[in-house]
Amino acid sequence: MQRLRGLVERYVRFWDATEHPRVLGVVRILLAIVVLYDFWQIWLYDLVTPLLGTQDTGGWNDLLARDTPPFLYQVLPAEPWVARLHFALLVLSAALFGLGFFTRTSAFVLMVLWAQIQLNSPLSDRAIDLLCRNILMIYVFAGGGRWGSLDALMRTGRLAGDGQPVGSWARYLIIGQLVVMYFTAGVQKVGILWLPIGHFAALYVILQDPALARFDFAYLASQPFFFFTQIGTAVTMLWQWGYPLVLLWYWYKNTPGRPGWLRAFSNRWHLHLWWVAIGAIFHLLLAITMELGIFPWAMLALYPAFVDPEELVDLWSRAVAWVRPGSRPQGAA
Amino acid sequence: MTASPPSFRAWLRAGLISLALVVHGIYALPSPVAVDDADLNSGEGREEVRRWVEMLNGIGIALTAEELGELVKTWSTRGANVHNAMKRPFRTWMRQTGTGQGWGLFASPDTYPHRLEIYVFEGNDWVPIFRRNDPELRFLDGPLRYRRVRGIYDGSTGRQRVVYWNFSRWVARRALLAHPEASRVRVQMVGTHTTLPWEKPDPTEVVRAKRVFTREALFPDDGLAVP
Repeated sequence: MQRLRGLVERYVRFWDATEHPRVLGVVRILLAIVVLYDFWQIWLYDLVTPLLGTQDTGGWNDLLARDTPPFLYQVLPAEPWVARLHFALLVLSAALFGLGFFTRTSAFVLMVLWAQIQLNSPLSDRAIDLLCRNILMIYVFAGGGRWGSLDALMRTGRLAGDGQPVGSWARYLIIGQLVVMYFTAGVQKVGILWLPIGHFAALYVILQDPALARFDFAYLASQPFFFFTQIGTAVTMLWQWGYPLVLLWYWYKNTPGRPGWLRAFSNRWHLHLWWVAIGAIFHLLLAITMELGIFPWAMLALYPAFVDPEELVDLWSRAVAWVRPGSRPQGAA
Repeated sequence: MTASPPSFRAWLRAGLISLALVVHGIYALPSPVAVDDADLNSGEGREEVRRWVEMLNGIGIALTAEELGELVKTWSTRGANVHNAMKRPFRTWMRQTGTGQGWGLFASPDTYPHRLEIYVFEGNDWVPIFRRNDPELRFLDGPLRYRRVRGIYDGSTGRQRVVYWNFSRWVARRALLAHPEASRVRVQMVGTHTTLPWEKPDPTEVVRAKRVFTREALFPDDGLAVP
């Protein structure tokens, strides 16, 4: 009983940990930039009414013919200005979220208005939209506006805030969300072409899909290019199936005093960062080869969550020193 | 020295996070989508079943395509039903917040993909103005590549959806405005078949979801290019 209580208390303390708010601030700003870019495309291509409006006003979806119309059209009339108002509020809330102005409220408003896009036009709401809204839900409760925000400026007189710690749980949940996404995406790849018995041909087949491929990839049928796609398929499967390992590397990182050669190896070689680096390369390749919109960029916007606030400073200092060799890395040991 | 016990706030936070983890854990369960006869009879479905049957027969498990199809249908439907029942209590919250889990990304690559094409009728002939990934035919290339628009047409080929009809009319209006000499516009999806490099290529192309719009129908006042 005592042991169980001890375990539960450790679990409670795990979620009670705190840290500097800069990582949450960086993720918030990057995510808002990506989201605003996506909304800008809706405006640029004159898609506000087609995507958000009712059929009578020029929309593509028969919202009002459904058993339960989207909430927006239950409370507002089916008129053209509603779609424009919806869009304006989306942009405004995304901008305020990025600026960190009433951060929790703007995260909530953005999430709910974004959910209305899903209800209005389910086919144009993709997996990345769902993921972003999940992250916004975390920000509704987290201290994401304590750094790099107007909230911080108003509260402390400095954009960077006063460094008062916030709950680490928000960053942990973002990491957990990414682990769940990658892992379950891996285990649901049941199509035979993902497997050795399907010749690891999945990537080749996906890149022949005209709706997805950024270019004509017919040349991949010849060698050695087909072999490269097979390698890509196998690595994708291994990486996604093995993604929960990143949690092991984090546990090792947080318990460096414990024994074990794997812990020592993982901590010496920063295996968690290798996992992150492979993911970044994976998403950059997706961005180059496939037409997935903001998917790779929104994923990369969340990647700073993989490092803790001190690591982020250290990595930033190293990156600056690499770009400007004269400057000394400040955070490096 | 022992650490002081967690505060009430810490307990509350851990409890709420645990609740969220349970709910999202239920949503994240990698349960199958209910497969029906339409899925099994699609080109992609038939090919997937054929490959699995070949593999299973190869390792000594005697199953026909029909038997495997029936098994997949039965068990995927049962799995999906159980999963839906588990999700039911939280559905309203998830729906209104647009949150949830469900990451079947490229679970089964499509060996029968579709290509969007747009034609205008000028002179006495249909002239192509857009063909996906054809660098010479790029009318409305930007919006048609945009992910939210791609989802509309790429997700509509198997079913006659109102949204595809409205989308194609939107495309047609723009095509007629940009091509004042054109009298009609045709929007269609062309089904292709991707074979593996060592298999016999299949050049068969099937036109689906074809919509033809006349200028008179879209601009009824005078039939001219004024919306």
